[in-house]
Amino acid sequence: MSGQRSTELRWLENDSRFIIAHQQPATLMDILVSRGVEKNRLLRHTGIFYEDVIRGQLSISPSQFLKLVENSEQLYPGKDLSFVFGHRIFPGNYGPVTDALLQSANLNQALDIACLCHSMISPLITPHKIIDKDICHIYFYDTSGSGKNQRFILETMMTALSHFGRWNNTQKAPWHYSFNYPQPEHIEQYQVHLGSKLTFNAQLCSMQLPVDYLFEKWEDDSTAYTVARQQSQEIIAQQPNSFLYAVIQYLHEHIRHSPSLESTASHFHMSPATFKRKLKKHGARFQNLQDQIRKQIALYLFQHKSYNNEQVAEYLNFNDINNFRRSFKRWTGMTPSLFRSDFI
Amino acid sequence: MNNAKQLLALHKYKILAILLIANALVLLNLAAGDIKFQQEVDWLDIFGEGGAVMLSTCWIALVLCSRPAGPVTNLLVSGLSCFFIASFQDFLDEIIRLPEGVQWASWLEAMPMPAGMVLLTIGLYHWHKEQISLNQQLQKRERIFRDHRHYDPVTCLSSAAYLKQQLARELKSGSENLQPTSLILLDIDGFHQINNKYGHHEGDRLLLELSELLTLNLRRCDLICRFAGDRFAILLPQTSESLSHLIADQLRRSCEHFAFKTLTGETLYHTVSSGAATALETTSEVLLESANKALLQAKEQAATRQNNDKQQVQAA
Repeated sequence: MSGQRSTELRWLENDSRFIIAHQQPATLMDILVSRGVEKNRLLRHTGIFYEDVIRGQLSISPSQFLKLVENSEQLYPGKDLSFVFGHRIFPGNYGPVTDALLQSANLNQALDIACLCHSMISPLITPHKIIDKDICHIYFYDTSGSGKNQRFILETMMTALSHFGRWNNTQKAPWHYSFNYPQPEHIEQYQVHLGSKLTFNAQLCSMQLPVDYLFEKWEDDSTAYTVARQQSQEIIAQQPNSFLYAVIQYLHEHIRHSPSLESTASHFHMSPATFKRKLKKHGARFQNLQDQIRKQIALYLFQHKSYNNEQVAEYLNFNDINNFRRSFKRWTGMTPSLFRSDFI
Repeated sequence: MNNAKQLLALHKYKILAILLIANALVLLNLAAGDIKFQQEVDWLDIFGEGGAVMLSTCWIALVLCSRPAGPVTNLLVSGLSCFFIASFQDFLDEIIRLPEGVQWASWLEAMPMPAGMVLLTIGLYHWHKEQISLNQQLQKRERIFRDHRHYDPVTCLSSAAYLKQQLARELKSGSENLQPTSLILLDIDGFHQINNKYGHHEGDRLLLELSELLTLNLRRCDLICRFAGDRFAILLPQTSESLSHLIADQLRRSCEHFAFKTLTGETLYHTVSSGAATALETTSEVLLESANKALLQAKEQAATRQNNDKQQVQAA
């Protein structure tokens, strides 16, 4: 981090070096090396030197990690790299975060740690947990402009999260997975590594689990967990927030008042031009982010709160129901009524 | 890549000999003749004959990189080396002018070529023999078709994509001949524990050794592949339901008796769960789906059995 000290770091962006190289990146490298891939080919154009990784002092940026992922996907012989990698991410070597995971009394506590420490254990894509009456949903937000590697990272994190608790030999929880892409050829990898509850061609990528499983007891509540959680919190508190995730969170909170680009930019103390440029750096656009969040909320309200068109339109602050219908069609490719008859 | 390097190290004397011959040729030519002036040189010939030298070097390198030492390799390499010598002399001719009446140069251009062809032919014949015996060993792993892109790097079995392809083909011919086709899916119980406890390297080794063991228990017509993760799939052509259950049972029992040795010398035993499905006329997806269902049921039973055992132990 020495290079960062001179310019004060306000946000974690995709060129901020905050990913500790001997944690997840090294795990990925080890898998590739064990399959006979040469290190120098693997690290080509990443700006990472293995000597620095092994010294344990190196931090890399999301862009560098993404380049490593891209190289890995190209060089790996086989289709299961994202799943194999996902299996090895937890409990991992994240210091107090790993301790907190290992001491979690149930799945809910472990997921809380994962969401809290996302910049550390899921630096490229951020999991977001929502619990309603009887189902726990996990959504994923791209926070690094991962582009064509997004699917790989998503599958990795889904595998990793769904194997939570296996370190103390609990049964794998029966998660339901939704993917926003068509069913791939190598469907068997998904069945073996994730399970048979799979939906492809869905509107959003998410994981769902009946709430009861969250509170099935793994361990007794322990002081060790509380301490490890506090320590993790302290580590995370020293870091700035991830820029894109902060924008997404802000939009989530204020979406009902249709925040404009200007007002959002001023909330982040930037000129609209700087704000736009920063979004572009992460492969995002303001309108797209807003649409993505509105779509997610609309789908959630339809599916899990049984709202009707008018209620959703009103919730999202659309003045005109036709306007809402048009927008919904743009987000999902289908009209709200069709969606409701098909999926509910 | 490491593999290629190891193989090259095996052949270091052959490489040295070829380099020495090339060197001797250059010296011999220089001793007898003079280097041509630039205007005398025909560039087209240089490119053509230089290309032949490059290609024959390439062939030698490929053979050396891909074959262990042995008589067949020696034959192939000496045959190709003869090609190399002839084309190299031809190439040197274009750069170095030899005085009239130098007999050995034209011999060097002409003689090695037929000798090389004879050697190469004998080499290829023995390579063919060798391949036949290797194919017999490989048959259960690849059946009639070979495509190196379909290999699983951990177990060296074929991949799920290849199995699906073969399954579809077998179902088609099976329904024409009124012969049922069976499929077994086989899953190691508690595989994640070995990864957690002993590391992923041991997990990979277990997969490799189990794949050898399973292959030994199959008939010649069967095809085994690593489906995904710790799951194997076995295609049984022209096999009835009862026979497929019998084979699945044999596989299960042989896995249970397999004493896997970790690198630290511990012995581990594993149970496996299996699901079988048989059909006369259906699609490969449907057959896979029903085998998958049977497997999931078997796994659930295994889990409850394990739980019961644990409770009994605790009660005792």
